[in-house]
Amino acid sequence: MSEAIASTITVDHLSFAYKVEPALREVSFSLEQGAVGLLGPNGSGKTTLLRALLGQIDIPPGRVRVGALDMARQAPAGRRKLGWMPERGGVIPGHSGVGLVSYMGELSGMPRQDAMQRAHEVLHFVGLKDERYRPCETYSQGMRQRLKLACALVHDPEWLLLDEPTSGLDPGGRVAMLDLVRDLAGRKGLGVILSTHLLADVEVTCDELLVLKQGRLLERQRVDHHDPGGRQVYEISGFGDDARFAAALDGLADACEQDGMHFTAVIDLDRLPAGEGPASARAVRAVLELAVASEFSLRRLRRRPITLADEFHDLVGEKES
Amino acid sequence: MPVHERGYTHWSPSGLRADPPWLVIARRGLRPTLKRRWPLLLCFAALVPAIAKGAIIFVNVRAGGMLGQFMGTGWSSVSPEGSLTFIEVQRFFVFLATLILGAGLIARDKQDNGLSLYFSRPISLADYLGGKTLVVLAGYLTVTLAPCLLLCLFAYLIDPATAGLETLLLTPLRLGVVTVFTGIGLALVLLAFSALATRTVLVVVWWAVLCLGGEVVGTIGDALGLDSFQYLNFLGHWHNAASLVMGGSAQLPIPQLASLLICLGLIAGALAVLRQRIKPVEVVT
Repeated sequence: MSEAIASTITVDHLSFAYKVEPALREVSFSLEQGAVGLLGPNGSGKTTLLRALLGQIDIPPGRVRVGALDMARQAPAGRRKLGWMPERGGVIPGHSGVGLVSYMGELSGMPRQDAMQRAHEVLHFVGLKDERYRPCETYSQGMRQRLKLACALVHDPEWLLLDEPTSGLDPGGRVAMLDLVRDLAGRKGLGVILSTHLLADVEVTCDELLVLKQGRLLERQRVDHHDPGGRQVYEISGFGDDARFAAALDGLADACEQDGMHFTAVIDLDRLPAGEGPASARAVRAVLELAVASEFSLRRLRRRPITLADEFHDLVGEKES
Repeated sequence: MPVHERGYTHWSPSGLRADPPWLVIARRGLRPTLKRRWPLLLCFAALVPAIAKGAIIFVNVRAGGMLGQFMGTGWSSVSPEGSLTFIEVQRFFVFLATLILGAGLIARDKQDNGLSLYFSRPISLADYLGGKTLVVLAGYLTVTLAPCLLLCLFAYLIDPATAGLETLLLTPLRLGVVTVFTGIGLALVLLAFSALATRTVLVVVWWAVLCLGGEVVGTIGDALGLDSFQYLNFLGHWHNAASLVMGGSAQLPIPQLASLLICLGLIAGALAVLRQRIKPVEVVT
């Protein structure tokens, strides 16, 4: 079985506004192949960016290209290369599962017989067996998500654009969906753009990460190249003079966040003053000394390495939903 | 290459020809209707006036045209005027057929966020609208053009000498032009309503007000002798404009050209609404 080589997706200084509200600001990137996570808080412009890739919104010519096709002028042709799995909707009542998938195949330019045969293949792949003959409006949320993935796959696209594919799924369904996505991106050579606000989904599925906030592309990095360096996260709870303790902790930590009597501080061990013992022990000792000096009684102190989620959290400046 | 692969496989095209997207949309739009019983009953009911007219034509031919002198040419012949009279009789079926087929075509897609699904496929707005229009047009032609053509054929078969080639060729051709124009126009106006609403029931109400309300206003205008009331007769305008092509006399007490211009204006307005309202934007419910 030959593996597909996905066309390059190029976005060049793309800006877009809904009336006066800017949704995308000067976004630029180029994607060759593989699985890319599009991460950002709600309202950061992820879905708008996917719509721009599909040519569903009015964008200036030359800003978005799929292969050689300009999505402002050649959107219908470009969409042949793209498979879209929307977050909401995506299911047209009145069709059976197999009927809907074959319908989408025919709309994508497949002959009727091919579309029907292919619909059965992809429904089998996503794990919808006899349920495929049921009206799709009777499907559970998990089955709907699988059906939407089948619709996105039916015409054998080069890129899959998945908008919150694990939305509303139970833990088992979520794992199964992510397995499917990983398989498609890893072994089948499809390009995948996974838009989500769940970093864990990106960590287990994607090679690369694009972080959006308020329509701006904040960061692009490889997921497997996440290097925590010497930074560690300290989660501290207690009671006493929290204001003094917070001020003191600010001097020690790279970043510190207070939520009532609970503190989360990122401490870079490499930047601690030299002293006896391992750096992590010196960091704990420093936190304890600060607590004593600030008359803040510790109830709990927990240490862990910094994760991609913490970095994402720092980048977007607010808690992950 | 694995020895055994049950996972995802790439598509190998068979080389068969694919249908154009507008045809696929039309076919899928008609299929659920054809599976229901009462739309089919409506189609058969719409044939009843044709059967009645066929019987009248038969008796008229056998009676040497005496029935025609008594009833007029409207019911006893398939002349252009007779055909227009027949299409006028079919107005209620036109109202029902277009409503059943077209009311929810776009409203349901909007309600279910289906537009984003359609426009993630390699189709254009023209493909989408073409397919949806064809669904309504099929219903319209089933209750108007199809019985008219059958009557023309019947009239020719029972009396070829009198009916002549006009009944066999020219009248059907004119009827085709008129009904396709009217059907497309009505379909676009109905689809514009469907695109404005997110609930099918609203489209039903608006369409009923426009079609039946217009008829009622026209009848009241007739009774009061106020011709200007006829400008509100929505279905009447299409009929009046059709008489221009069919070569018959005006069907409303207003100029045929004015009705034609109103119809063209309605089509332009409907297209503007459809262009504005059909966007693949998700409706958050």
